Amino acid sequence: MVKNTLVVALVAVVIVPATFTSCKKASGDYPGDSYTYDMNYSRAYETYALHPELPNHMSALMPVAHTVPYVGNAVAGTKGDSLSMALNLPYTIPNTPEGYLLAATANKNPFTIQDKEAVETGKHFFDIYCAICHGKAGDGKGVIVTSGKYTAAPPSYFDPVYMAMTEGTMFHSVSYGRNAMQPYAYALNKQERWKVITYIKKLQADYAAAQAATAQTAPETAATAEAK
Amino acid sequence: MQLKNQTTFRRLLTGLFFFAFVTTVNTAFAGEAEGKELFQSKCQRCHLIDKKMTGPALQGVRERWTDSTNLYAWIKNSQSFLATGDKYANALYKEYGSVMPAFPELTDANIADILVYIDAEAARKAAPPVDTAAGPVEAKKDNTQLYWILIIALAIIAMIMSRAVKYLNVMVHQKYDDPAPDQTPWFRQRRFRPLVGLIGILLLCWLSVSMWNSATSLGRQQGYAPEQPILYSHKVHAGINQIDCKYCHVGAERGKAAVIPSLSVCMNCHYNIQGVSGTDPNYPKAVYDKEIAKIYSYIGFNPSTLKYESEPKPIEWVKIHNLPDHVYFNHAQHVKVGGIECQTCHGQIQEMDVVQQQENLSMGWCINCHRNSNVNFTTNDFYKPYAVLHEKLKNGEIENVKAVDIGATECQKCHY
Repeated sequence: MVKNTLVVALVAVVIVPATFTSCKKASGDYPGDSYTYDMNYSRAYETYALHPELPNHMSALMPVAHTVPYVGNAVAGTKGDSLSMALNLPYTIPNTPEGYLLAATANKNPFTIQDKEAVETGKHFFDIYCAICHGKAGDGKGVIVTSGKYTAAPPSYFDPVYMAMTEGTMFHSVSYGRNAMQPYAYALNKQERWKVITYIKKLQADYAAAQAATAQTAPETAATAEAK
Repeated sequence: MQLKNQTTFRRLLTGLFFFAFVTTVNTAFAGEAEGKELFQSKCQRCHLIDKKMTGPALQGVRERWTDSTNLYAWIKNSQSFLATGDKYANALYKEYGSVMPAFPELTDANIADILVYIDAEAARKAAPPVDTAAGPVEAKKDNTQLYWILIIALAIIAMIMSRAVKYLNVMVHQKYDDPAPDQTPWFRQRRFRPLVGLIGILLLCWLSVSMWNSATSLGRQQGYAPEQPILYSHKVHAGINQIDCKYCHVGAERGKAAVIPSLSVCMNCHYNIQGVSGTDPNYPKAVYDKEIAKIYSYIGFNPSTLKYESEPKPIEWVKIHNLPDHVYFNHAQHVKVGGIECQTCHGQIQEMDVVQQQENLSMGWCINCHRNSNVNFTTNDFYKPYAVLHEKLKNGEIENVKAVDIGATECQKCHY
């Protein structure tokens, strides 16, 4: 009797808890034990999973040559569709000095700075991808530049050269990179690039308007001072 | 009164000294500050002092251009100077293959200032660097095992000692013919029964809780913090440098996977940043410069010629946050539509040098959030089709719409 109780107690207090708690928890390099490995870790190839058959074991592949991703929800055959088809087709002006000059006039922005949606979306992407160097205000004073970590300081958009730069040239630079700036086509499709440029043009227009306003008030104040 | 005068005098004297010092320093580097500002706004886009970038390294530029008037003309308008047929200029154009923009706004004095700054900076870079690099970071030692061994050894010693004390006691009693004391151990004694019961119940509770925790944590990976092929710190990039998460994880707003950034994303900055520039002792240059060099070896980039020379090969990053095969999770739905911060699920990523899975990612954890979170119902057009709920909101029948109200706890939303 006493012996039986001892066995039960031993099982209850030592063996059962030991079994339940002996599985190793995740820490450091060890992801932890699991009941069901083939349910927890997908048998199907998840995004970026290793693939034994493919080159470099990469399951992430380049799109098939000459295919074009379609972004948008315009109905086929409508005017909206032809616009979004044009935006989905690849950018064809080559990355050469001649291409750079050609881009100034050949590229046309489908959006205007009056288009609120374009400006807002442009700001959203600008703040993510551009502001880190070019600054949220577009003055070339991004966090990474003012902290001194990044040595190639970008110009202010409000320099006369950039105020005069056409949207087509900007589009070319964003697509292929320019000087220290690398291409941003990986992050922004053509439509989004145009929206970002629309936002930059809006910043410049606001700046020009502010300049004009101060220029106008300055002679006025001078005139009133003279009158006194 | 006299004392006060003395201090005033002393102050005046120090002020004078300071003024003299500042003026001498200023005259010694005349134009350097102006040159620095001009260099940063005009030249730095393409030129570094000690390294090639889009254009050549600028140290020793004065020695390379034997005629300074030519150099000034080149800076002001490189294209018209090229047309004069200068040999060195044409060789430069051929080597770099890009046209330097014209700077008609720069005066001769401006250019002189820039050159002064270039010389000063080159001299500073040539000086032997101060050895700030600390030794390799020592791994934190884990002493838990040692402590357990010590505790067990001490417990055994304590047991042996208490036995010895007991026997000695018995022997003492025998020697003096005293009646032997009560030998019943304390936990069998009647008066300790409630205490023994209480300890038993507490032990049982503790065992059940730890069993439950341990059994449910299986397969959840909470606390997983694997070593990655590159010692990449989210704290440096997302925390200190304030780079937006979506700058690299471009998929977070657009699709199911947040996307592991491709090597070209690293090169957006590391094309230019080829070594640790800060002096933070937590990130010693000796260690982290090698980590940056790893990017170049993976992508096949030669940092001295700034060219992609060899075949790139992929980095095998270790996946940390893993959901079971039978769960569907979509980043865009949460980040773009729901407007949820990355930190809600991934913890304070911007403070982690090594990323660790903070949440357990269990189903209960998902469901809790789906029950308690308000949906941006009125501001987001995604939710337009829910006509009945919009009606109720308008009538004031409900105050807000939770995720659960639009089916966020239905099985087939995530399991199918």
